[in-house]
Amino acid sequence: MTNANRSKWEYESESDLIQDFKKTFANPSNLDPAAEHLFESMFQEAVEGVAFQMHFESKHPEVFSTTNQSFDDTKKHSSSSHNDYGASSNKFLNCKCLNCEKTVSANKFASHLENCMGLGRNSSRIASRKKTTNNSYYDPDDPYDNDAESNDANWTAKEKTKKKTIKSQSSQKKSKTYM
Amino acid sequence: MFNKMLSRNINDHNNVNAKRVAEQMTILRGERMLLKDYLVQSLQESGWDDKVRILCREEIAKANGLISVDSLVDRVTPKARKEIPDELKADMILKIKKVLLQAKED
Repeated sequence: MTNANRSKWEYESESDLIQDFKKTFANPSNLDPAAEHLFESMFQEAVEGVAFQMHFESKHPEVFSTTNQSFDDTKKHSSSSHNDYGASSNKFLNCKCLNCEKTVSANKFASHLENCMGLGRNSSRIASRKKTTNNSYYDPDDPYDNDAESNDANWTAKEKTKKKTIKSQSSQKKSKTYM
Repeated sequence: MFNKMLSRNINDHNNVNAKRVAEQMTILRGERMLLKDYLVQSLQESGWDDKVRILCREEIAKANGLISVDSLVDRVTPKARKEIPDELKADMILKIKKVLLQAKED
């Protein structure tokens, strides 16, 4: 391809591209080959995507452990050191948590990270418990202490006081009935 | 005969230009991405994805795991092309033509 032809493919602006497009497709015979070409390029990308994923799986079978479960158990037992792609699978993948810098196995990494970063179900309770052990003083009657976590953390203290008040009230009632 | 060759060359040149311009136009309008997502989804629903995965596994096993991605793609592509359902291909090409015609009118 000559330099003159190369420069034809580079448009200076969007409007140049749009003009060339309209000019080209004013001829309806150009529609079929263009559509075929587009389909072919998209199909090629789809194939490359699948091939790349399968190639990666073959190199790192421990990351995709669910896929290995679909193969026969007899094959696994007969060649335990090799997976069905023929590659060695003796390595076990460990990941380092970026938050707490602990080494965790890949299978449990997601759940560990969830709890570590405070996004898990129990992580907020664990965090508030840690806070109460660090904070020695807490006043439940303080009206300005509207922190939800601290309130949540000290539900045990509140409930105990509530129980005490209920008990005292119930004992008073009982004494009244016998009067 | 020379005229036929000349007209064929011009036709080929026009086709190459049309393909290139169509691709760039659909990328500019964001339609190429949407068409590709639709194609991938349709291929998955038709089971083509699973068949190609099996083909890839077979090729990798034949090479004992020692195969590059490019070689894998080269070996699998012709077989994968045969696995595409004809209806899906026709549907996609029709969609692409509609998109190109719409772009021409806008």
